Amino acid sequence: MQYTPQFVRAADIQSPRPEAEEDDIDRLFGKLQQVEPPASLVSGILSSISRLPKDIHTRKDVSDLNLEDYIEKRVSNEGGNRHLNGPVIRKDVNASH
Amino acid sequence: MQVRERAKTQNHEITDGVLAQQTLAGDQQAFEVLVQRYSAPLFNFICHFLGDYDQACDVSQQVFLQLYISLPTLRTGEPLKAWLFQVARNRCLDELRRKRAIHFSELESMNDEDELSPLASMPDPSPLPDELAERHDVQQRLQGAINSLPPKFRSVVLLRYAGQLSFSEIGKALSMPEATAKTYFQRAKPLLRNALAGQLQVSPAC
Repeated sequence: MQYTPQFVRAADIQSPRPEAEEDDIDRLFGKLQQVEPPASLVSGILSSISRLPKDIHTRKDVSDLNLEDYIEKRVSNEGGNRHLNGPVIRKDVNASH
Repeated sequence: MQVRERAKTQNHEITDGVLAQQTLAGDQQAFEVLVQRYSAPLFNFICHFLGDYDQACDVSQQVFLQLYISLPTLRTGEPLKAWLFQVARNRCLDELRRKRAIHFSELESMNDEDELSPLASMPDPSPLPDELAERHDVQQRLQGAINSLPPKFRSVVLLRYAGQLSFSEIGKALSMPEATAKTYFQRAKPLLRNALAGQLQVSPAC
């Protein structure tokens, strides 16, 4: 019997393996809606950061800080949680574009 | 347009650690890149956890404030993703505890249908075509199945399905071994299956 060398590419060894086989439950929950944040979220976060004390990174103790004092509270002017019924973007819809 | 795309690609190549260091050196744009990188998946996770869009906005802000404040003490050699989801989950639990304390009397009178999170049970006043109505119904059932899980399983399932975290990241976020995160997830699946059996196209767990 003759030995036949098997060539194995590095990519075959190093490529990450899927963590587990996908089953019907995984596929079903893959349809779980992706709730998009409001466009104002990023600017709200940066605005909150700008209100923090300037010496925040050199302070030894920050336990006296109450984060709620710095966040921009979201006020729904157009009725409750309207966004839940609005631009909710599903992953499968995104994927098709 | 091309310049913006190129900048976006370059931002993807910069590690969280480098961005953290740049932020500490006074580069606020570096922090903005971190916020852009994680705000959408974090928000989605928080929103599913709390079932409240406005509250999810507040909690998201708190998480990133916490990140900014904690930058000097964080180990910047590894990605911040697991840390961010850990903080987000803890904040969500605080909010739910606080809510429960305030609305205890309301919770007592809840019937089974009310136990769905507001995200799942939110009525939609606008008329929906059949397909959209069906999707809405599916979402209600999926969220309802997650909400029916014991809390320790619910966190793992939400981190996996809403946060898109690997088991290694879930383990770090929940301070448990990766194998335990996997086990919890596998134990949650039959519960999800049973919760959905007969409603959606899944067969009941044996």
